[in-house]
Amino acid sequence: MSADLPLQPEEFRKTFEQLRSELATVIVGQGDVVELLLVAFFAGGHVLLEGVPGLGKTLLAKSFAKTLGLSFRRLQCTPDLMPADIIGTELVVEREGRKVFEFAPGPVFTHILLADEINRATPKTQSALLEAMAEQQVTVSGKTYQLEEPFFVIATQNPIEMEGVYTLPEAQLDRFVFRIFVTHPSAEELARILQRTTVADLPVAGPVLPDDAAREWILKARRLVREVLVARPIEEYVVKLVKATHPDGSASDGAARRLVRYGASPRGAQAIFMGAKALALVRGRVNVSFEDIDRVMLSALNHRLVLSFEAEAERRTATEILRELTEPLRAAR
Amino acid sequence: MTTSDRPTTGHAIGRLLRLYRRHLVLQTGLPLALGAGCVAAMSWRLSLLGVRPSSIGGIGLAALAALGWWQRRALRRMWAARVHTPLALDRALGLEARLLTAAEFAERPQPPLLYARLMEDPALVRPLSSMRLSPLADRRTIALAVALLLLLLWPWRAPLLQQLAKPPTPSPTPPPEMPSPPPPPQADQAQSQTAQSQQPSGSQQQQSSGGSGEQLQSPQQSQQQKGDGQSGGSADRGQSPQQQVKDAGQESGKGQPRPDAGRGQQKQAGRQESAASQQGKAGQDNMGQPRQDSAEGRGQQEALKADIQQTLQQLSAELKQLQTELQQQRADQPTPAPGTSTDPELFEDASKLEPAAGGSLPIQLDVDTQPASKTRRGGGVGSPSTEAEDAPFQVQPESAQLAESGAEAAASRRQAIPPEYRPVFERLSQ
Repeated sequence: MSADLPLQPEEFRKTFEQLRSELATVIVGQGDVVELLLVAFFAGGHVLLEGVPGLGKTLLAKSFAKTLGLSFRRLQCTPDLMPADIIGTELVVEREGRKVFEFAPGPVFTHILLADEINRATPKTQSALLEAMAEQQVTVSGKTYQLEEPFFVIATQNPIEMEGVYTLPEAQLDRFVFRIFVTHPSAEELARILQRTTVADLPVAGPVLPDDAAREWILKARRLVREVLVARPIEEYVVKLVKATHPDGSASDGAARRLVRYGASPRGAQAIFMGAKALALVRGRVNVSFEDIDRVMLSALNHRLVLSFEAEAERRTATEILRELTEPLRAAR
Repeated sequence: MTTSDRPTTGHAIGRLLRLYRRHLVLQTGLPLALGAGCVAAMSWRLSLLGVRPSSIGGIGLAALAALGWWQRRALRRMWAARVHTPLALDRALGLEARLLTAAEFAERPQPPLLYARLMEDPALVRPLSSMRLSPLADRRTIALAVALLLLLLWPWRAPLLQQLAKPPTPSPTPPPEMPSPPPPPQADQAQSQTAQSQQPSGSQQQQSSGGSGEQLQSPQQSQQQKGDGQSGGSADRGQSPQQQVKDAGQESGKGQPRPDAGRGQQKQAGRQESAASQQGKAGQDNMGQPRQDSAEGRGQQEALKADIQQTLQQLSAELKQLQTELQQQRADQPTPAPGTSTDPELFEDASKLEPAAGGSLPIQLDVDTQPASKTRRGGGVGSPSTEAEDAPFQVQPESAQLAESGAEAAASRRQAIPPEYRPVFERLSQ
């Protein structure tokens, strides 16, 4: 029976640990961020990294692409960035004496796309990524182009409100499997960052997977993640967690009605499920446990809640509200 | 208990779960059953003591509720385990939902690809193979069992159980009587009150015999009561109310030394033999021999009954006479003045105070003999003093004085039009 598996779970775990340790040569600290980034990648989702400038978000994305041995493009989002700059456009070119329209693919045609400072792009440009992220395809001039698997978007955004920033719409946010907060390093980590980055020989992350076999291996790993077993009580637990965020749901309490305007979507439950499956393999199991669900729940749901005016007036964050809403469920499970 | 099978198949897991479920039910049910037994035994004890059935029911319900509250965690655990046994066992062994998943997918006809890996997972197989179920009887269960045994077997003011615990004695000879201390005065009062309800006849021969409740019994009656006790509880229930009062007195006085027989015993010494023979018959009945309802036996019983009634009449008459004497003695004694001692051996005569002068006390007490509505010096009813109103106004100098002019800088006015553009606006307005 094990012979039919796309990949052996032990091999997956070993490679995952190698990727993590390779990234740790470049990124000091941020262990949780690296783990969640890798989990989201193998779960088949996209990630929104949020943090103030200078915390190494871009470096993490670049190093991540390099360790996986996949193609990588960077997109610096600005207010004058147009959708065609992302997905590509049709150009008039001369072929065999005739002028024809030919599609020039944009930077979205890659394996790993870094959309840096995505909230600086206009909503129109942000929406250009919607189809690519959800369906892994783009449509230009009525023609649909399939993106090659694996396609993984790492978007970064700055939480500090400034002029020229366009908050991501809910539909766009819902496409990200995780929103990961990049926090400031500790004093010890900061000292290590200084020691590593202010010398002549800068550390560079090397590829863990060979370039020619990386894509195949990653696709197998993603299939293996989908094979991970989930028992019915755990499934019910995820459903309860998501329903607890709904202000009009039967499972919600007064806090949800007061603090949440719109709860998490079914994509939130899918994100929890897939993230927990990948995490279970990382932790040496072929089944999902309640702890896996709890580990990924906050990252999977914190960007899917639309807070009420009252919550915003009280300066409550989505993470705080999620903790409050799900605490009874976690205690009673 | 160690599970012998290696749970590598769904069947083995199912068997293991059934075993665990049964164990949990037993582990929770045993203390509950013992506790319920304790409550039942306690109710039975209380009923023997003559407590009302409604009170027993209330106490029993309260005890059952307390038992349920005490075992609430175990009950909850058992209930949860019955509903989700794999989940409960998973948590107990720290298997991180491995058993839960294995148990669920074992029932599917086409198990998924990773199911075989899960069943081979050492983190699942090893804890299940070496799983030890906790013993059924923990300290609480043992304590409950001991409590139940005590409640059932301990001879705690229950003549029936005493007699059940003792082997029946075939010898009809009565045990030698033991001296008893004099009864307390409260017992005397109770005795006299009881005696007032009886017919007045007889002498004071039973006054000094017996404790709190036994004073109403003659030695023969005591022997008779013992014989009845040996013959079982049904004999107690068939007795008259007077006899039941005597039974209660006997139960409460059991184990105390017996008083001297006194005059009453001397008078009734001749009846001891017949009472002893009666007891012997009762003892023989208790041993299972066929009962002989002969006319002779019935005659003896009637004689004994008449004897007892006569004794009681004599006793009540003596008690009444004693009560009369006691009341006469109390009436002869002079009534002590209030506030003085009634015990001349402990205190001297109280010195009497003169109401107004205070007598020989070192402090002279002034007695206010005026009516309460009269105006008194320093208080009471009167008009307010005008001292504050008449006093001249006086200004006390302070160390800090307010400045005559404000020390703050004058607030600058907001200029809607910048100064450099003002001429332009003035020109426009013209």
